[in-house]
Amino acid sequence: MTLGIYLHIPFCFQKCNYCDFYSLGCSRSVPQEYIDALRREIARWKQKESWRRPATVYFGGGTPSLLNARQLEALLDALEPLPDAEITLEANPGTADAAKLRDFRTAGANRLSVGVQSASDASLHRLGRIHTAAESRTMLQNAAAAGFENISGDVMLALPEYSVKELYDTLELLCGCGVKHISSYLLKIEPGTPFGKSPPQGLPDEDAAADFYLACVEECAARGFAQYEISNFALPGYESRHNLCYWNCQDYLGIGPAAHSCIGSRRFCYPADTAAFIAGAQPVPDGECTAEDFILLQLRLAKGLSLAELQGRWGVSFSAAQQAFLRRCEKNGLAALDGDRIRLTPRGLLVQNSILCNLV
Amino acid sequence: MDQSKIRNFCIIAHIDHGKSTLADRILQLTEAVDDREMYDQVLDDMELEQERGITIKARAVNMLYRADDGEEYQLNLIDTPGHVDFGYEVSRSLAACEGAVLVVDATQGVEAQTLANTYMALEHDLEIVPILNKIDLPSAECDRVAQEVEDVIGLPCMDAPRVSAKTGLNVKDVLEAVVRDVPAPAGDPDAPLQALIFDSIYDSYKGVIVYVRVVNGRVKAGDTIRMMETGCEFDVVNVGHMGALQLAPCAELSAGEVGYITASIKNVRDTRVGDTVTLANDPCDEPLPGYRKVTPMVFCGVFPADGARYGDLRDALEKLQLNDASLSFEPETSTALGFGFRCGFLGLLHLEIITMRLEREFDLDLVTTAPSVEYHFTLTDGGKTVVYNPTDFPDPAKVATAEEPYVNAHIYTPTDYVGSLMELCQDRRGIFIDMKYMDATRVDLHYELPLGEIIYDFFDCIKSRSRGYASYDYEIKEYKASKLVRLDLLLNGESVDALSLIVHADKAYDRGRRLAEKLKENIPRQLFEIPIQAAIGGRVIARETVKAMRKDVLAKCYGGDITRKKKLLEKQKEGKKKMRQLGSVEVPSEAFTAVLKLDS
Repeated sequence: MTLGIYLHIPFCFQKCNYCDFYSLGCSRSVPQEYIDALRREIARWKQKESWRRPATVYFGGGTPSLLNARQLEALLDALEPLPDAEITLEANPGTADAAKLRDFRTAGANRLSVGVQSASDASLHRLGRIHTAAESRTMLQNAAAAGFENISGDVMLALPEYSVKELYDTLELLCGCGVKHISSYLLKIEPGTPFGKSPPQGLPDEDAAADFYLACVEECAARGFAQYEISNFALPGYESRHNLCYWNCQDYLGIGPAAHSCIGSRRFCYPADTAAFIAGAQPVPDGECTAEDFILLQLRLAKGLSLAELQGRWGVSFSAAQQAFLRRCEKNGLAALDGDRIRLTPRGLLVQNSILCNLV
Repeated sequence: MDQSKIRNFCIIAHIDHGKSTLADRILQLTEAVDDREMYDQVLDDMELEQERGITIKARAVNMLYRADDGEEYQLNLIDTPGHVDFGYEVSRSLAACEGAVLVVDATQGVEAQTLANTYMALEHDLEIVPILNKIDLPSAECDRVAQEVEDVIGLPCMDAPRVSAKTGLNVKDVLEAVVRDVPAPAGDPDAPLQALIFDSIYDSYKGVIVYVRVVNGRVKAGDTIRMMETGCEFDVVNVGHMGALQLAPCAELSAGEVGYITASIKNVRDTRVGDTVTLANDPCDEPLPGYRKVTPMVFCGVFPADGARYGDLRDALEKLQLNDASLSFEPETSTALGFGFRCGFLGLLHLEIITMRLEREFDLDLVTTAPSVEYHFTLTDGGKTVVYNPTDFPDPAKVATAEEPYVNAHIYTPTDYVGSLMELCQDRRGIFIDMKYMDATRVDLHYELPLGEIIYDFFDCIKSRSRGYASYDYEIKEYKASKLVRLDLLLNGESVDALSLIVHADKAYDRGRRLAEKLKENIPRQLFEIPIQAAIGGRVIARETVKAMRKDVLAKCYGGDITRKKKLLEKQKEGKKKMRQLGSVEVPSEAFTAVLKLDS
């Protein structure tokens, strides 16, 4: 089985108003001691029997584009990814110029995931992003010029005062710059964030948000981007190999504070504390990967869940009541049942939690 | 005890006129409670009574008081509830007294229950001692209110004590008036024992404690007593007086005294309130006149939210019934809610108090159904049937006549609100009887109203339409012919028995429409669309739809953090368990009580 590596870079120039991921704001660069700590942990994992050379590496954050190319290179040197490995770097507009992107490419990154979010400067400002839509366009163009052929763009849907026009403008911006992959997320107001403490005005209601999502699915398809997961769309062959390894219950190792891993069905994670991580904090167990995980992850995917695989790999099958429930979902256009496979339609994906409550 | 030195009295008042506060001051003045032990509303020791500032149960307390004439008197004060629902408690207390202190709020004047309680006291031939309370407040109008008492009630009041129970000002005058004006009890201590049971409570150590007023004869430890109505006999373990905070045993209770008897009695049902206690070996000839038996007026289904706790609910109801004979219950089965009980209450406040006590004192989560009254039907074959559960509604084709209970209601209100209140009564199918001016600014609005129309939210409506100034009181009058139908609610095409109601035919359409709307507000969107229908017989009269849920997804499963998603799902599943599964529809417990809150 392949191994995917996730490296968490918990530093941001500024925290965005909606974000509840673990990161430290007010950072203009990544401290060297943090790189040393990541290398220390990589060295430790490499001594384990379960180690093999990673097929994918994903630098996530935070803002991994705050790394410098030397730091990126040092980490990849330590990881020794396979020659054809997918090596993704998340990049936020406003944090890397053309030269830096060239250096990232030279250092080994071959996939760039750019936090574009919206083509509306008003929206970007409300979200607390530090860039404009023009700066997003510049970064996408610079990345292509730097030799990144596999570029993904992040889009946020159902923002305050959102409109279909804003959605179309954003998709047009991405496609105009030649991205091969689009990740599209519905804005969720999380407690503990600035938005959680004082929710923004003009948020679309449940129905409007759902309509924006369906419009996004439709427009992506029209532009040749097939939906392969709840929030992910790709031109043929450009699906994210790294993220697929989460959803297919393959092994992945996450290093860094708040990074999650699953190796041999055992889940564990590092505590969300950068100082502790630098000081040597070790991961703690976080449960098992079970049939439940498999169901909920596979049903995120457009290909859906194979009943034979569920039975073969986990020894689990659905009860008569659950099967009746699934048929009702199908009748109401939420799911498609195709012999061995169950997949959720875009409308079904939108209510995945409620569907899962009946299945796990 | 020298009978001439005994005074048995109660305090009657409209709610919030300061009855319990006055009782507190009297207890302090007579040193029945010392200052160290004092807290507000000593006699309202039930948690709910304290919290809501109301008296639910009657209490009796014995005090010694040295009056200005130099003599020491034994005072027995019986505290009584003020709310209209608990009128029967008042009536029991009155029968144990010779006098009643009538507390009138000097800032408010005569209110509905001031009159109702006064009339009840007069029926029991009690001497009434009026006092004006709250004279410390700047808005007190002592002379005007005293005049009002004289005009409306016909009691001399100009020389009545004017006190502030809150500050303690002139409270001693109240006791002097009691000693002077309330007659000493009459009764022959040497005649055969006749003692009236006016209350009983269950104590897990002593068994049932019976509160009695000894009318004739005497009783002491070791006597064998007989309950004349139930015929049960018991050996007296102890007799004594009720202190404010504990029982004080004494050698014997004799004619004229108020006190308690313990006799290892296991079951409160053996000691019916209103029964006469006599001695087994020297019985009296006649029982004392008892009370009207308390009959529940309002019924509703009470179900445990968790079906596994049915047994706990039954135990809890049994325990509450020990101290509250007015609570009745019998098993009920609902397709929607499973096993529970159909309970009978005195009124909506009583219902609310009991369900709150069940939830708090017994840690139960309950689902209650819409309250109903008792309807009478005469069938085409001449048979008669009584229905207090909508599921028992007879086949409409076989109903010859239907009747529902009416009450005599008096609403006391400033004239400004008469129009709005008459509109309310009209809307509740009230029959206008008359309107009397109590003075230039206040009227007594007299209506006959169907009980079924006032058990939901009538009191709240009166309060809101009169900005809190109007008060009301009612008594059950009689059954009158009515056109009744059963209104059913259907979810996803299936009738939900727990949501059925018996309503007047003319109001069915309106009620059905509002119920359907209310349910729509209370049922969260689910995966599939839910049609809500209100129907009479097979005819649908209103329809609403709970639209299917559109968005319920954790779109970002970041960095392989699956645990977070699983925790969210767990939480969602927990929430689902708290809902009632009716077929394929999940209904939150609150939806069943939402029908209670149909404001007009």
